[in-house]
Amino acid sequence: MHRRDFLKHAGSLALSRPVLAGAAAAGSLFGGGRLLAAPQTDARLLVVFLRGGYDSANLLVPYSSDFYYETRPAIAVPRPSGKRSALALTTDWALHPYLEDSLLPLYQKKQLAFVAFAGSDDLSRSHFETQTTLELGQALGGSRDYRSGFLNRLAQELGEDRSRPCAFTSELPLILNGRLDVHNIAMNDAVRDSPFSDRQKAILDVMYQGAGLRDKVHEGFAMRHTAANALRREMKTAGGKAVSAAGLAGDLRRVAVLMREQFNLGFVEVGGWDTHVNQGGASGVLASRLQALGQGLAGLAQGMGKAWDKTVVVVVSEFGRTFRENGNGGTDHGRGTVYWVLGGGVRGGQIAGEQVKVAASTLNDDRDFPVLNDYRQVFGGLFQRVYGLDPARLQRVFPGGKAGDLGLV
Amino acid sequence: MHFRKGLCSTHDMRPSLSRRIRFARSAAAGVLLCASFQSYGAVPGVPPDASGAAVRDARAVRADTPDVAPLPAEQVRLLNRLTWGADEASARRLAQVGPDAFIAEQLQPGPVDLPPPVQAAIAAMQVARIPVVETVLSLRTQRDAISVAPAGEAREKMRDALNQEYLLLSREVRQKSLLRMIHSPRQLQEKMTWFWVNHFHIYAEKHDYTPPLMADYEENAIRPNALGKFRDLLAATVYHPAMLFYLDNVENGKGRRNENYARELLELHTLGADGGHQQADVIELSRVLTGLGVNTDGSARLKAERLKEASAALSDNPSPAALLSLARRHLAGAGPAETASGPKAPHVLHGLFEFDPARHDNEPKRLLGHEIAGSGLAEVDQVIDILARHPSTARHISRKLAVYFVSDDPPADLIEHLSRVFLDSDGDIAATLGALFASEAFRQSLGSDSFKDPMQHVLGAMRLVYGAGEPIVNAQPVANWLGEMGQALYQRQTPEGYPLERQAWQNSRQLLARFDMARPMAGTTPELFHPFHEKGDAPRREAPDHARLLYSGLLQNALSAPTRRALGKADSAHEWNMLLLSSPDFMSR
Repeated sequence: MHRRDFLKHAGSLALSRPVLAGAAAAGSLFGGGRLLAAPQTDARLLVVFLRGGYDSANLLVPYSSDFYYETRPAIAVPRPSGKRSALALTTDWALHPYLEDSLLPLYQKKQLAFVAFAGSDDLSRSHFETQTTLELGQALGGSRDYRSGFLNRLAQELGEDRSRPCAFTSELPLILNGRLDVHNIAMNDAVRDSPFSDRQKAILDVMYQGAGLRDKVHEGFAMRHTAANALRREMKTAGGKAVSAAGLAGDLRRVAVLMREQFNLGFVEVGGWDTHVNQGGASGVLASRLQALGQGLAGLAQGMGKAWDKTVVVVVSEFGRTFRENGNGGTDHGRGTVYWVLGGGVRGGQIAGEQVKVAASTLNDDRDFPVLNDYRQVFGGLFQRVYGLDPARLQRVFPGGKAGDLGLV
Repeated sequence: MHFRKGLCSTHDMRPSLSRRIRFARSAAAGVLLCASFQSYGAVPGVPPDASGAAVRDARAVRADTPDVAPLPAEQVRLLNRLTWGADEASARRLAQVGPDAFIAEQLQPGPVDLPPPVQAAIAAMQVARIPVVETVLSLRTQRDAISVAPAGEAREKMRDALNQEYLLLSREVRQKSLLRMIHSPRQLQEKMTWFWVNHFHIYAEKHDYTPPLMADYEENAIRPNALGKFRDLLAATVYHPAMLFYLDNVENGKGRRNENYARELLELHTLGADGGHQQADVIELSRVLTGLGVNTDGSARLKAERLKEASAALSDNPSPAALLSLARRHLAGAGPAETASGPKAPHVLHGLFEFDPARHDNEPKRLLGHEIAGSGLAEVDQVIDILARHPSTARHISRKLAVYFVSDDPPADLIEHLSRVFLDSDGDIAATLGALFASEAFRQSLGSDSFKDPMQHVLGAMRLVYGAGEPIVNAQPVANWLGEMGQALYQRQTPEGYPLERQAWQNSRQLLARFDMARPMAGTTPELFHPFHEKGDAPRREAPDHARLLYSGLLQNALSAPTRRALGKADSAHEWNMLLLSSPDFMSR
C-alpha cells in the first residue's frame, strides 16, 4: 500500500479533535527527572550470583592440604612459590594467581573476606533446583511460595522509602520476584532509549491521558531515563571509557554507576562456571573466567567511588564442585562452596565462618566440601548489621532460618 | 554433557551476564522434507458451519466493508477471552453466528486445521518427522559415544553437533506450538492446551531430552485432552517421560525415595496447596510412585536374563542382534507391553516409559484415607482416580479456570458452581468451561478490561496485524518477544507455571517491554514469513494494513475515543500498528 492510500484510509479513523502535539511534551509520559526522592539509607547491597556452580577449591586454594594435591593431579593450583602459583592469604588458604592484581589488593586492604564451607541444605546437586532453593530463601521440605524471592522480601522489610531494588539482568530473577514491583535493566542494553520518536511520544501521551496505566508507564520511563542519563554522564568523564567497555568488565562498571546513582539493592548474574571438562589449574578456562570476574569486581569497587564505603557485595554460587578432579580434567556438581564478601566497610582480610581441616575424612559423601555456613546465616547476619533488621523481620526474610552472624561488617 | 540455562560445558565458557538461551535467527541444521500440502477444508465428522473452514472462508470479504454489524465492545472482549486474540476470521464468525453458537463451536475439540504453508513449515521439523523415541535414543547414543571418545578435536566436534541438535529441537518445539496457537481456528482448544501445559508445567532445560519430549507431551498428552476429561489429562501427564524427568520421579525408588513429584502432584496438579493433605500423604504418594521412570538405554538396562526370558517366545537361542531388535520393539511400544514378570509386579516398558517393579515399594499404603494394596502399576491408576475425583481438585481447577477467564479474585459462588459441574460431569473440562462462560460473573466481567499476560499480548498482536494476509510461518521472533516480556514458552524454572493473575503482569517493567517490542511486532520483521529451516535472508515487506481495516469495521467499538483520535495521526501502516500495539486499549483484553 502506498503512503498516500494509507493516509486516505487512515482518515476514516481520524475523529474530530487533533492531537495536541505541543502540549504533550516529551517529558510528561516518557520520563525525565528523578521520579522518587533519594533513598533514606546510603547502605548498598549487591548480590552477584555465579550460575553453574564454580569450583571454589581453585579460587580459594587449601594449600596446606596434601589431599588437595593428591586428588587434583591435573588441575591443582601449585603451592605458593613465586610465579604461577597460589597467593598465600593464611597458613591454610591461598588465592588463585590470576587474581593478583584484582582481589588480592582488596583482601590486603581488608575489604574482602571469604566464607568457606558455605552453601545451602539442598542436596539435589541440580543446578536449577539449588538455585531455586537459594533464591527463594525458604525452608526445604515444606510448601514453598515460588513467587517470593528473599531479596524481594528484604526490600519489603526495608520499605519503599529505604530500598531501591534493581536486577541488572535481562529478566527478573527469582531472588527479586515477589510482592514488591522490582525493575530489571539488562546491562548490555542499559543505555536503551525510548523506542518512539518525539511525534509518536506526543501521540501516545494523548492516548494515555486518563488511562489507569499512565502512572506505571511514566514510572518505567522515568526509571530508564534516569539510568541512561547517569551512564551517559559517566561516559563523558575521565574514566568514562571503562563504562562503555564490552563484556563483564563493562557490565560491572555500568552496575557500579547505577548502584552509586540510583539503586541500593542490586542483583547480577554471571554464567560459565559449569566446568565438567578441562577446567585447567593455574591457567586455563576457569583461571581466565576468575580473572575476568576479579577485574570486573575491582572495577566495580573503583566505579562506586565514595559509595564503596557503604557498599557490600556478596558473591555466591548454587553449590561447590566435587573435591576430586574427574576423568575429564574437570569437576562435577558438589555441595560446599566459598562465598565472597567485598566492600569498603567490610571486615575483610579474613577467611570467616566455621571451618574444618580439608581431608578425605571431612568430605561430605566422600566427595564434596561440607556446608558449615548456611546461606541464610551469612545473609541474615549481614542484613542484621547493614540494615539493623531485628529477629522478627529477619524471620520474614528467611522464614524458618536460623540466626547467625559472622561479623562481616 | 549438560545443556541448561547458561550452564555450558567448558569448551563454551563465553563471558555472559545472561543465562538465557538466545536463539540465533536461522536454523543451522534444518532438514527439508517434501511436505504434504493438504487443503485445510472441512474437518471430517464436523458439520461445515462448525468447522474452521467456515471461519477461514470468511477472509474473502473485506473487513472495512462489513456485511455484518460491528461487534459490541462486550463481544470483542468475549472474543479476546476465548481466543488468542481477535482476528478478522474469528470476529466475522462471532458476528455471523452470535456469542452462544460461537462459544459452543469453540468448546468442540477436534484436529488442528492449519494453512498449507504453516503445515509445510511444521512438517519440515525434526520433532514432527521423527518419532520422539527415536530422537531420544539417538541423542542418548551420541551422548554415550562422546563419553567414551578420546579427548580431542573429534570429540569436540561431536559435542558441538549434539549441542546444535539440542538447540534445533528446543527451537522447533516452541515454533510448532506457537504456529498452532496463532493459526488454528480451534482457538479455545489451543488456549486450553497452553493453560494445561502451564498447569502441568515442565521446564524445558531440566534435562537434555526434555525439548523433544515436550513436543510429544503437548501433542499427545495435553492437546487431545485439553477439552476432555480431567482424569485422562492427569493420567497422560503422570505417565509421560517429560514429567517423570522434570519432577525427579526417575530418582524415586524403593529405599531411596524422592518426594518432589508426589508433593507437586498434590499441591499444584490436583488438590491445591490448601487441599487438605498432610505430609504423610506426600510420603505415601511418593511410595506409590516408586519405580515409575524413563528408559532411554535401548537394550542396555534390560538385564540379559530378562531379555532372554522375554524373547524365548521368538527364538530358543537369541542372538545379540535379536535381543537388540526385541529391545527396540519394546521401546517403540510395538512389542508386548509387559516383559518377563519380576517377583512382585510386571515390568512395563511402553515407549520411553518404564515401570520397574524392582524399584517399586509394593507394601500397602494409605493415601487421603484410602487403603491402597501393593499392586505395582495398578496402584498408580487407583491413585489417579482418587485425585482426579477429589472435591479439592474440583475446587482447585475451578478456581484456576475462573482466575484465567474471569478475574484475579473470582466470586466464591462461581467457584462452588463450577466445582459442582466438574464433579457431576466426572471432570469434564468442556462442560465446566461451558458453565463458566454461561455464568453471570463471566458476563459481568466482559463489561471491563482485563490486563493481558504476554502470551495474550504477543499472540494477539500477531493475529491482528498479520491475521488476514500471508500467514506467519516462522514463529522464532514470536518466541523471542515472549522471552523479552518474561513469559517464554517452557522456560519457567519452577513447577507452578506462569502466574495467571493480571496483577502479576501489570507493572511498568512489563509495559516498557511491550513498548520496546511494538516496533518489530508491528511489521518490520520479515523473518516471520521466511521458514526457519530455509537459508538466506527474508525479503523486506511493507507493514500490513489489516489491523486498521478491522478496527474501522468489525472491531470499531473496541477503541476508546482518545486512542482513536491519536491513531488518526499515524502516517503509515507500520506506525498505525505500532501505536495500536502500544495503546492502553491493547494492553487489556
